[in-house]
Amino acid sequence: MTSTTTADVPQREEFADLDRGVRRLYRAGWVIVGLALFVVGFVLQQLFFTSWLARANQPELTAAAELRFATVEVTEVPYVAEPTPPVAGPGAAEVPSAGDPIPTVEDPAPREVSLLAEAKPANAEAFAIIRVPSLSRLRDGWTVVEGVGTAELKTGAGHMPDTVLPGMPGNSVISGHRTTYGAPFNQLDELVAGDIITVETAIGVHTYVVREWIIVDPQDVWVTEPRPGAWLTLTTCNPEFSARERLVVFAELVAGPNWEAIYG
Amino acid sequence: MRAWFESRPTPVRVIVAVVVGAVLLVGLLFVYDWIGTSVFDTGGRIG
Repeated sequence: MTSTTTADVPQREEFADLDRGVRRLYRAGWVIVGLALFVVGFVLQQLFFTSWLARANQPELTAAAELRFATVEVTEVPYVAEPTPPVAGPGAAEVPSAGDPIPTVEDPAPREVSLLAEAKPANAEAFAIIRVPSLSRLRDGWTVVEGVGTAELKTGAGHMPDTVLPGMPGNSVISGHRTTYGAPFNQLDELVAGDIITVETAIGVHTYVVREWIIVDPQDVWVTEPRPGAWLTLTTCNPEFSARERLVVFAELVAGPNWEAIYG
Repeated sequence: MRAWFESRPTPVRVIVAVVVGAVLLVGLLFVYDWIGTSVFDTGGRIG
C-alpha cells in the first residue's frame, strides 16, 4: 500500500522545471478539483443550507402570523354574489335525460351579502398558515408571507399580491419552493382530486378541496386570473430541480367563514 | 500581491486571510443563490 506525502507533490521550484505538458496536466487537475468542489458546495448550499434557513425561520414567522390573527382588524364588507355555475364532480346536479320533464328554474339573481375581510398584509408580512393533512411536509402547516419576489420566496411560500387573500371570492394564488428553501410544495404532485387544503388567516380557517392539478409554462399567467366562486391556486416549479415548468394545483373553497356568503 | 502578503507579520496575514476568505465565501454564496433561484428552483412564481 502506498501513501501520498507532500514529497510527491512538486514544490514551486520543481514545478517550474517540469515538462510543459505535465504542468498543464497539473493545472487541469486543480481546475477539475475546483469545479467539483464548486458543484458539491452548490448542491449542499441549495438542498441543505437554504432549507435549514427557511425552517429555522418558520417559528418566528408563525408567531408573527398568530400575532396578526389576534390583532388585525376584521371587518364586514358588502359583496354582490353572482350565481356560481354548478361544479362538476360529486354533488353536481344530474343531467336530465330525454323525456324527463324540463325543470323550471328561476333565474338566480345576484345576492347582496357581506363578507369578512382583513386588511391587506404588508410586503413580506406573515399572514397565513397553509396545512395539507394528506402531505407530510404540510401536515403541520407552513407559514405564508405576502409577496412572490425572490426575497419573500426565500421563506418558502408567498402569496401573489395581485390576487385576493385566501377565503375571499376570486382566485388566491400562493407560490412555493419545490426543492429548496424548505421545499414546502415538494409533494404537490401527490395531491389528488378531493384532498383537503386548509388556510388559516385572521378571518378564520378556510377549507379548500383539490379539483385538479396541471403543468404549465412559467409565463402562463392565465392560471392566476380570477374565477367564479372562491379558489386557491398553488404553484411550484416542475419538474423537481428545474424551473422549466410550473405545477399548478386548483382547489375550491368548500367551508369557512365566507363560504355561505359566496356560495349560499 | 503575494510578496506583500508574505512580508507581513503573522497576525496581519491571519487577519487578511480571514477577511479575504469571508468575502470570497459571501461571494460564493451569492453566486450559488443566484444560480439556484434562476435555474434550479425559482419558487414557482408565475409570470
